[in-house]
Amino acid sequence: MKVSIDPITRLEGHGKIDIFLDDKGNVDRAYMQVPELRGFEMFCVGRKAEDMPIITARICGVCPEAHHMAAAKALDMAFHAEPPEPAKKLRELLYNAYIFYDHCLHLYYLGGIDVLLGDVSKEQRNIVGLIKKFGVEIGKEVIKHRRYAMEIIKMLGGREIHPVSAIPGGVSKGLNEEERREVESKAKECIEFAKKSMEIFKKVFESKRWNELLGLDSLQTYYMGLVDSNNYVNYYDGDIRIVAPDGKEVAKIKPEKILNYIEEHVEKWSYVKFPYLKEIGWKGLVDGKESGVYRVGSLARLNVADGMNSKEAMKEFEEFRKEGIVHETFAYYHARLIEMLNAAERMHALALDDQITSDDLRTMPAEAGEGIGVVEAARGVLIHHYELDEKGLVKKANMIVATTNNNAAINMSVANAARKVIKGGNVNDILLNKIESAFRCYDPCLACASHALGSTPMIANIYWKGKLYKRLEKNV
Amino acid sequence: MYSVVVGVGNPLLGDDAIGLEVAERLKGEVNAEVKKAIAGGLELAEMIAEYELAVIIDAFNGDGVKEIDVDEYEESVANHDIRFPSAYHILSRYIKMPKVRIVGIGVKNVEIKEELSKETRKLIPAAIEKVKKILEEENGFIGKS
Repeated sequence: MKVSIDPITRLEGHGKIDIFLDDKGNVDRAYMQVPELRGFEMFCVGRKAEDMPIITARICGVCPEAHHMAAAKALDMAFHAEPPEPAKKLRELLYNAYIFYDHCLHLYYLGGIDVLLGDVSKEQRNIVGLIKKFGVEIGKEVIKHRRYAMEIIKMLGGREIHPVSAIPGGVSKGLNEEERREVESKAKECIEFAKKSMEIFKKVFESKRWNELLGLDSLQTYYMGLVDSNNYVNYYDGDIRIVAPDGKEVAKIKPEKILNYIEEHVEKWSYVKFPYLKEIGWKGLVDGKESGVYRVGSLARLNVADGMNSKEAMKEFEEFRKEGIVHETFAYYHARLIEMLNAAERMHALALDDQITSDDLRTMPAEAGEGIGVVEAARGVLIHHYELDEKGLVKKANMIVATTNNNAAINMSVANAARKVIKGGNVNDILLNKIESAFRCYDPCLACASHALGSTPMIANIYWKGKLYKRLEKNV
Repeated sequence: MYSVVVGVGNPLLGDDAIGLEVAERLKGEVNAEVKKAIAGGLELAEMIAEYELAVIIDAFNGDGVKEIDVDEYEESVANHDIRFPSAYHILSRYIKMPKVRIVGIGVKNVEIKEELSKETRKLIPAAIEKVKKILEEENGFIGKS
């Protein structure tokens, strides 16, 4: 059967799901396409390397902090300029504020609605519906604590939304005692809010509906994420750990070695490549130990780690992982909540660190070379790789973003969810939302920097008996 | 009125950056805080919270300079899925949100590059005048900060 691909422009694009039904009207297979920003890497060539943390932060309005830090870390390596400890801690503080801010957005405004509200009408499927169910106070709390995290990002990053403070070899801005006290106080409140969020979501986790959501999709994949020297989750720095579906460690490597471990498979029908573990190999869109498909993001981070670097989050981690590796895709939400608590606790711990107000902020860059920077974006491993010439200009740039790392898994989750909910050719908006909810678990970023071009459109084409049977559109 | 003027756009996307350019030129020329934003949607709504008046300047697919109704301000691919009108209305329920007026500047060349096209540059004076007129209508004067 012919698979048609709608043309997408360079920047604008729509998520597109193609679902193929068998003779009985049940799902045979399904594919999901995400738009990709093309041409940006070429755009970087010839630019001054030190501009990369600012330029790349503008790729995307969703996670500028992640691109900013990945670029800065790649330049630390390229210029042989390991930042001093206080600078690393300041970067990590900003980064944890970003993780908290971003997870809060996803849990309360975006995907979390699927968990908290279930199958409600389109009109109710938003934070307003959530407030109706959980009360006005929670709405105020969400706004207040997101703002706290943003204020910390602004204080450390030097600018609202798009930070500018990370530079090759360190940071351009420190923290004074008054600011430190402010961070400490705000972080403390964020911890309490994260605990409250955990209580709210746990009521759902104990329900029958949660088991139904967990049953929608489960993939026995490999997992990849950053860990610190204790093998605890770390968003800003550490080694990359890869574990097999049974939880056994298959690799623990320095981030700069990562490109030796992954390859990218290309499919004619997709603009986005499919990274996989080179040693295991590409076996198609299938899970299991023989398939090199891996997942990144909150669930992956908790699966590759032995624990969390903060007390309350550690307790939650132990409960979450008590039966070993967790494969259910909806468990991304539970992992995200634990990380939100961890990020708040880590902000607080860093605010109390003796070195955080130090003015030892930078190691001066030396000769230019090649650098790879890896961070955990909220939605998973983000890799920036630059080659610089002797003048410090970018010769080559390559970026592997989190949603691309999850591309194969997202496709498989969408297909599994579609198989569960579409029966006998019965397709409607509620069912489409349920299929979409499977990929929302990954908190995918479907857009890059094209804010003025329209809202995120989504198209689902359902093919039956060799013809387009139904086309469902949202925001098109 | 405690006012803010926000230029919205992406400096890497050609004419999409027109809002930023207009905001830059308004700095020190109006009695309002002048900010620039690369993100839209929820982040933009959070950015203008607690002012009394916000004038947003942004690019749209079309021609000329015109005022756009808040509910028709369709932007924000980059914010997952929350567009400005929704974000504004949600926040309005809980915190003080300003009166918002939006100046749209019609553009055609949105692609990866860092310069504005000649055609778009020609619209800058009209956009500046439009923002000043709005501030005058709302505040009774333009003034300088």
